[in-house]
Amino acid sequence: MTDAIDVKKLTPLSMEAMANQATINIGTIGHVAHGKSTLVKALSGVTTTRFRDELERNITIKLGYANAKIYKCDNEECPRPGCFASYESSKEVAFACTRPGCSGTMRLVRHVSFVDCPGHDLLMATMLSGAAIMDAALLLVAANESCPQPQTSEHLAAVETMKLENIIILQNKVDLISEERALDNHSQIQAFIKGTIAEKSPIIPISAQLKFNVEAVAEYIYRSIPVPVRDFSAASRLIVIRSFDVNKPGYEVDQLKGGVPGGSILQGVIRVGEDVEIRPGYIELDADGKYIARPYRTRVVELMAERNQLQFAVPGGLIGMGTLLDPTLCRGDRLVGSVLGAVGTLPKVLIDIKINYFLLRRLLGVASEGKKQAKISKLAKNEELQLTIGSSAVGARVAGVKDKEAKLVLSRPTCAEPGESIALSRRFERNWRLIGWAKIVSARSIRLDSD
Amino acid sequence: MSGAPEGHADTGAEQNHSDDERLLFEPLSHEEILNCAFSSWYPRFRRVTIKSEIIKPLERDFVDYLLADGVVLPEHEDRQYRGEIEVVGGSGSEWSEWSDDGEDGDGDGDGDAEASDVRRLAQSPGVKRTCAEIRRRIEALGGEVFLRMGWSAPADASWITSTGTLKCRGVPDICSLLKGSNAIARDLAAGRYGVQPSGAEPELVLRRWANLTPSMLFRCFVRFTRLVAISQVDYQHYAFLAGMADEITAKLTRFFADHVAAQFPSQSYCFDAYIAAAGRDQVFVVDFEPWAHSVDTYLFSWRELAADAAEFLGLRLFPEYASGLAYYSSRYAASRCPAEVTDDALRGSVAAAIERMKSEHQGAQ
Repeated sequence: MTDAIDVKKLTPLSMEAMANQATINIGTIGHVAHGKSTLVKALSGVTTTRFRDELERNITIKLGYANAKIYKCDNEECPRPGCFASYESSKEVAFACTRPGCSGTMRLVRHVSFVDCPGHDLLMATMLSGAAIMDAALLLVAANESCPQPQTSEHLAAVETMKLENIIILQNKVDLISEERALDNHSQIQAFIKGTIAEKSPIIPISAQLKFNVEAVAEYIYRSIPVPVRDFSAASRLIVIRSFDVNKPGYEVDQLKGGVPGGSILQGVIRVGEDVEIRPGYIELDADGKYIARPYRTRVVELMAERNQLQFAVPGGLIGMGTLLDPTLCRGDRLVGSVLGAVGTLPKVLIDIKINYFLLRRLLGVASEGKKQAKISKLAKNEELQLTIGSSAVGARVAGVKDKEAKLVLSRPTCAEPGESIALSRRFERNWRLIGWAKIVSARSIRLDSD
Repeated sequence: MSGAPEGHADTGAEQNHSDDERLLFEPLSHEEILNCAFSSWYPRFRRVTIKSEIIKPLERDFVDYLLADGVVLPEHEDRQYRGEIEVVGGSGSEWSEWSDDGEDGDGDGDGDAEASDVRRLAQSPGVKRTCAEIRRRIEALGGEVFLRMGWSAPADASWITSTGTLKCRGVPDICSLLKGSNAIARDLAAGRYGVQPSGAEPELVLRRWANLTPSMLFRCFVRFTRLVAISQVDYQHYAFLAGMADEITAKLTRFFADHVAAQFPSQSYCFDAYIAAAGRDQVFVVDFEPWAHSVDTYLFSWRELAADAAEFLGLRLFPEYASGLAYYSSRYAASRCPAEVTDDALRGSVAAAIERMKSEHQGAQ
């Protein structure tokens, strides 16, 4: 049945894809307590118990994303914005319009994934590498506070880094204030976005809590966010963000369920029944004290988007995957940072790299009491740096420096290719701090069977 | 547009709600914090926990080394890989020019004070002695260990090791984990719970490596010496756990009564317990935490746990309807990216710099 899918004809709006999984990613940004989670709840119907306080903790586990289906009534007479609606990801693709007296049918027009932004692990790393994971953003601004609040501008800056031009501004909590104050706040927002990437963005007054005007949000998602152009025929590539071993400990081998990696598809299509490879894969010491690096190769036996079973998966939202992998390899998020894709199509596994690099003059940001940030010294031989390569982090020892070039020994084999951009960070005042940028010129790699 | 504001239970009130929660807590006493230091509880729980070695006191040089800016390792591994190594990109000859000349030191560095500080400390006698001690203790534990200090493990820096896990075989992995971890840096500089209890001394703990299954790890909450709740720790639905719920509760309740209640000196605290594979009827204690707001309560809220009603809240498991994929833990990712992208206060200034740097870089190619 999956053979029938012609990837060349597939788009993010193809019903075969959109019926079961999100095909557009929308980041939600805004100051703390401006209503991001309430809005996502209102749009996605995700009835997650907020297990506990998500806020103000050093250690937090957050709901990182939720999917929602956007519907439009096919009756031309059905008035907007009431002819739009949004529901949970498992809802059927068509149903009778709920507006009293309307004989139309609500039809699925978009399936979107809301990603908590910019705090999501995946996004933080890709912010530096410039990968385009987000297709649009919703910026929440609380109408009952002055605009901008600190995180409002910081998050907007983050979105500018991601080159997101499709931004919808939601003026939330309008139920709490008078019309006059709402207009006041509206002018503040307009002044704030002037000259920014959000300058031309629509501003929609809503109350996420009372679900007031959320149909308008659905309408704007439908009308003002362009359908992303994706190359579904490209070799598939997924970034692993979690991995699980779902077996009861002590089970017999023949009763075991394979490992369960999950993550975000960057490009291409992954099908049930397909053979895939995971790199860098297995890295261990053998008896002679030499490291073995071996990619994992396995078959996809199940694909899931939230609770929907898929026959094939395309970019958008997060995809969970049943495989035939030894489950212990997936235990406890062990595969995080790996890449998964069609056999023989993944980048090489590198052990040393030569880079062409640039350093900032000083650390970024404003130091306290108006002092300038610390100066950044040159790369020094044998110092250890943090590299952000694609969505993964790896340690690296500087083995040599010549002018603008340096040779780095990676702390573990890493999947990457020459030409790729990487961020360099150095340990400073109890944090890793960005000191510069580099491009991989050449590398030493381990030749693998499937290369 | 004027509406009923009472509906704003978790938007407008979100912040306040969290602030209120702090009021549930008395300030932590130094004693309660010290009780949770590994070296305080390990001797009493030796028989029901993973075999460990404690290095305490730590040499002053070693602590200074951990606190110094920059990372230079006291020694590095000359790593050999099995299989054919090939050069990709550029021309093959480029690599021979780069043969290590063995020269150590600041390279062409400009004598930056911090850089030379960590370099000097990395080769100091105190660090050398500590490294030798670490090697001895790893051997005593069978060659593979995971490590922690008094209050925290450097789980946030596991991306830095040769295997990408907390499994360590030698000094390079151990030093890079300790120096790369934000959790360890916080504990050493400011204290895990925001205070440095008087009498606290840094300690390094090596524990025999065990391939634990996250599904079998549970946090138990003890209030006024009574077990009040048990929560699954890993944010993922494990279908088999539901069928084992009674068994898990019974095992942990019995473990608490037999091994913990009379042994742990605090009145209110949390402990993490691991239930070993079926057939081996054994429970291990993995860690202790004080009864404090900054401690993760997983599937409970502090509000529930601190309620006056004295009833046992039971075992809570991650529900089937929620996808583990949708939850992410910034705990393990804290040091995966530079502060420029994780810290809101830095993000504003970083965006422009990233753009500038990228365009400069592209222009130079």
